[in-house]
Amino acid sequence: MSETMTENMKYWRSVQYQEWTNEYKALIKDEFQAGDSEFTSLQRRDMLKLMGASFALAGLGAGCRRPVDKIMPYSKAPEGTIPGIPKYFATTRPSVLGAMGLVVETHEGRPTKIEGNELHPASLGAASIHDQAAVLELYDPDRSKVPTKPFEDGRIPGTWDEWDAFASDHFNGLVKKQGDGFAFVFGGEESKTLERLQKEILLKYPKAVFYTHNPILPKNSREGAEKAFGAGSRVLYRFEKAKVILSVQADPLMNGAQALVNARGFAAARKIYKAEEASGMNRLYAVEAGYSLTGTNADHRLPLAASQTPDFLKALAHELLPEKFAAVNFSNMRFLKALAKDLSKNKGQALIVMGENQVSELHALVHCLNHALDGQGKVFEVAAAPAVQTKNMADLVVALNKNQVQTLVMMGVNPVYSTPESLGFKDALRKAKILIHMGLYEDESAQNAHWHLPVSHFLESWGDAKAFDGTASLIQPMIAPLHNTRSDLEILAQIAQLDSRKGLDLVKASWAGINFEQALHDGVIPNTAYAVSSKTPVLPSLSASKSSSNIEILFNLDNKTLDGRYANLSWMQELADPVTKLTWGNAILVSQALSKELGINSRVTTRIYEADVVSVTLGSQSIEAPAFIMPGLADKSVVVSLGYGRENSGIIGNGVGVNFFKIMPADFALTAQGVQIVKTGKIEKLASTQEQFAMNADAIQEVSVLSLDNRDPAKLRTAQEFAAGAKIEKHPLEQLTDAWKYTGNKWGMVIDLSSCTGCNACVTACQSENNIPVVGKDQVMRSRALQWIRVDRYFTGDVSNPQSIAQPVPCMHCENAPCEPVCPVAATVHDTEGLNTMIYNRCVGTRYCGNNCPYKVRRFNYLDYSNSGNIYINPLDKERNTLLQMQKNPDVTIRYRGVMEKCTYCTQRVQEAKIAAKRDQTDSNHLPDGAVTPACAQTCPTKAITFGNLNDDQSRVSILKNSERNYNLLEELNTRPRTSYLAKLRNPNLELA
Amino acid sequence: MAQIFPKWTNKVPKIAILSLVSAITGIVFVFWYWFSPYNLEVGYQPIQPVPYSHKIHAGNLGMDCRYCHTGVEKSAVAGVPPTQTCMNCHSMIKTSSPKLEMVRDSYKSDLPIPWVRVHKVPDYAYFDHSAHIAASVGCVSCHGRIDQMTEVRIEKPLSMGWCLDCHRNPEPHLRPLDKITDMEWVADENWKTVAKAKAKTLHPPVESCSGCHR
Repeated sequence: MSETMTENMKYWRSVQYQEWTNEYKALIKDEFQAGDSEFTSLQRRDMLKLMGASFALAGLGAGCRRPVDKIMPYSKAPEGTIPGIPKYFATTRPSVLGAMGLVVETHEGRPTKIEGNELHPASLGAASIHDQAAVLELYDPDRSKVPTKPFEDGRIPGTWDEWDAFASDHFNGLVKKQGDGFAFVFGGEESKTLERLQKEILLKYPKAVFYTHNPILPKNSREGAEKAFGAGSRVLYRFEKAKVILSVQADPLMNGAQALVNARGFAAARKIYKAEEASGMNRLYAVEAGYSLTGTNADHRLPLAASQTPDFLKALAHELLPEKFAAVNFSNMRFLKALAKDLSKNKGQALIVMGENQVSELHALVHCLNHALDGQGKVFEVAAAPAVQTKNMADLVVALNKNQVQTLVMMGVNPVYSTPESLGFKDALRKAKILIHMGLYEDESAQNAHWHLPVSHFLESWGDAKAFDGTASLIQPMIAPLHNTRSDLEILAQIAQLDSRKGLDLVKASWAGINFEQALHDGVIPNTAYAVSSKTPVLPSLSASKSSSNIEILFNLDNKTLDGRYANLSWMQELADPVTKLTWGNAILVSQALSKELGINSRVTTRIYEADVVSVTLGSQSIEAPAFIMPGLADKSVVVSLGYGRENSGIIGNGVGVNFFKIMPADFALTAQGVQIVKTGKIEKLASTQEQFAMNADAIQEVSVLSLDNRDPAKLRTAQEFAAGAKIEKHPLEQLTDAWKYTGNKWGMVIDLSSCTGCNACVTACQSENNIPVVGKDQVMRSRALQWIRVDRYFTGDVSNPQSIAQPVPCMHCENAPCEPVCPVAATVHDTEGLNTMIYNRCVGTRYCGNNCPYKVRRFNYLDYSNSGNIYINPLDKERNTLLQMQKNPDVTIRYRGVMEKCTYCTQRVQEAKIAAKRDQTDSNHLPDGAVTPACAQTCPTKAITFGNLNDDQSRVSILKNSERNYNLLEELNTRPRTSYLAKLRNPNLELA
Repeated sequence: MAQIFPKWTNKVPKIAILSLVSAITGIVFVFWYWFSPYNLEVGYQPIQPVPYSHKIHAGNLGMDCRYCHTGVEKSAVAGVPPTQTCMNCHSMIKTSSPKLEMVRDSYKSDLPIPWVRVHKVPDYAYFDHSAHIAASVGCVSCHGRIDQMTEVRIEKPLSMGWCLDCHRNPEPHLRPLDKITDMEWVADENWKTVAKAKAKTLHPPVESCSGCHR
């Protein structure tokens, strides 16, 4: 095993892994290490003393009979309700990027799980991590619950009656002044009812001004599209039709309105099962300074500083359209020429996607190139959206400083946190006389306001929202407001002094003439998408580019908390970032070359990441942050993610990470030159999971990579050569004993590494379906995170520019499961359909099974995480849990301290499907294909996970298991896993190989 | 020299052994009998907030179980009826009975009647009514003669061993689908051959833990 490994590993998880030192080998050898079972601060002996006392006391209060349990039936049952049967409703999650259509599972009126809506163009049945975490946001105990009113210098809890009295008085006064000095800050979400209410407000207050603030608004992309195609135009991508895709400083598979759709389209062309299909495979190039999720999926990746990107694009433009663009010298002409050749060879199927951190002129240039590549109407479309003129935060600061704003309403935004320090918004805000903040939380902006109005969550209110392509859909409440809140539309209607202020009436008034019931049922309103325009792009005037050799800084929206709005969602905090594998915080990412230059020596020690703290200075602003060494970055680029360092987000998000908004340039530019980084000598511990649950070195070899040239039909391989070329190692071992015969259903799973982008949606789906608690930063650093799926990220190649592979690892449900024979109490045994089941009520917590699992997929409840309010701070604080427990899935057991748990193949869904078959008097032992879908497979945007019956030759999973690409993880151990993988396919350009 | 131990001490070893044996037997018996669900579960008969009598409704009046327990064929839980179901009749019958005070209050105030749960399996056991009804198991098999109970009590131990007795040999507990709620139905010879064939098609989970534990 490890002794046979070479000096440098082919696949590695971190820089240290690559070095493969003896110290490191000892580190990853055992799943449980010395001290792993120590309590947070208590030692074992203290614990035993406590236990003795608890036992003695427990005897006093307990009786023999069980406690009295109440059944609370409805007084008048809602129509069609059968207790015990969940209901599914379509609704929409509004977002400035474009709304997402959702289907929400509710149990007796409690929303518990969010899935995508197949009929909605932005979802297609998938849901992102943020969509799914919305259900946790609904039940967040830190949400604001009552309005607060001004009192002396601060605010105190008030009532809606007090607000109503204030509002009628204050807004009547403003009506008389025609709204002079009245301003609003909106988040920029697009909704017909919201637009209608804004018009109503302008009728009442003609002088009122609307400003937009939203750090996640793709400003440069929208401006670029407008510069190329005219006002209101937006560019929509069709990844499924593209054969060559170039992503420039962009992350189209993870971020943006179309992320799920792009991922679906991209992966569709990478599901190659036979040699004949290989010619349909697409190729992805990524040119980027940071390492994005798209970069991890690229066939060729070029690290390139953001400041050198204009030159790169101009040089590319010259290669593609030599008659229009002058030659520009670029550092890597070999890459550029091969790329340009590949793009122009695939006219009509080539697509260039541009990132938000480049100026709008370059976006327009890319649209011109895409048009020249004959892509319009094929790989991209131009949608004619209505042109919107909005004022931004800089305008608002000017107006505030000129004392032009007396009353300011901030709706659903948090500008005090999410504006750069140098903009001076917080100081300017003091010039306004009445500040009204509406939001889910009493956040940083609410702290600076006079009135804070708690608004209802979108799962509690009526509304409507537009998707990226203009498709409108309705938002319907799943539950009555949990707290004393009003919906934002209702508050706006009050400000507009409308007679009808009920949410449903407001929405119905906007959508007169449609089949409202049908639109609610489907989750989309038909024929509302933007018209496709056939305008041709106009070439922008390009400014001369300034290349610089200084260190540049890139500000990215965090993959999990975005601009900080999801900072209080523990599911997001504990999710490992798909690229850095960081949980509970952010860091400044530096390349290995730069770290050597700056003397930064951050590294993995035991299970945590000890990072050197550096001070980062940009202009006049300075901040201290831990430095994380990230392979594959452009040498002189450092990358930070926004969305951390919140001060008033709630218990979960407060003080986690560093707020990089503070040093951002005042114009919200996502890149800046001349950043100074100095080592401070301090050390900070980061909860990076990159070295946790590392499998033995041999496991990594199994992540096989194929290369095939699909451009030359003469070079297409036969099936046998395909398999041979795959270099998939097969270890057929003989079974010495008779294998168990599975006569009925025989469940199995296939994960296609070629389609998996590593987006983490499956992890969040599993977490919400299976009641998996969150453990907190301290516990993650002890390798105690409980998520049942871990997405391993491997690198291969040189540290300066490695390729990356994501591999989701759930329980393998081995037929020869190593965990089963070592359990002294038979708490983990096989069932008759081949599921390796975990019987929680038998488990006594020896952890022998976890120790014996070669895949390291078993998770142990060291402490009572389930009842500690989604973060392990104080186990006695049960208060938080009263709200959070409403999210729990009633079909899955809540695990208590001392119990082992792991992926169950969503056994509750298997059982439900079998019971449904019994109910219908059909054969529950031979369920039809598709009758059971685990939560991970259901939500996967790329449909990389397939589950089904292996005894059915025609099931999708059986067909995939027969693919040449199919392989078992650690097959040589003869565990006979039911979950297998399809080897990762790469499609390299031979000219660059 | 006098004897150190008097004569009666000869009996001490015998008494010690005897009392030890009886103590062990006693402890085993206490756990085996009093701590078993046959003692702890069977006979549990809590006082309900409303003195509802199954004997009157299901026995004397002959109402079908499914008039109130509507979910039993479709859902895991049979369902305790909403107050509305009571008021279907009691808005016309016994409209001023003091025993129905709480029912009328609940109907007016929209607040539930806090019934006390009688039959309960642990949270980690997922019993499903609909699966058992579909498999031709009648109500009486687990709940006993509800139609003779004024206040509902537990008749069967509801323990895992008791569940498995039937899962291993379901045949004696099967009945025609139209007799599911019939408390007095008895199998004839003809049905016994049908039940034998039917039992083979059921596949109840026996050694498959995931059938009941999730």
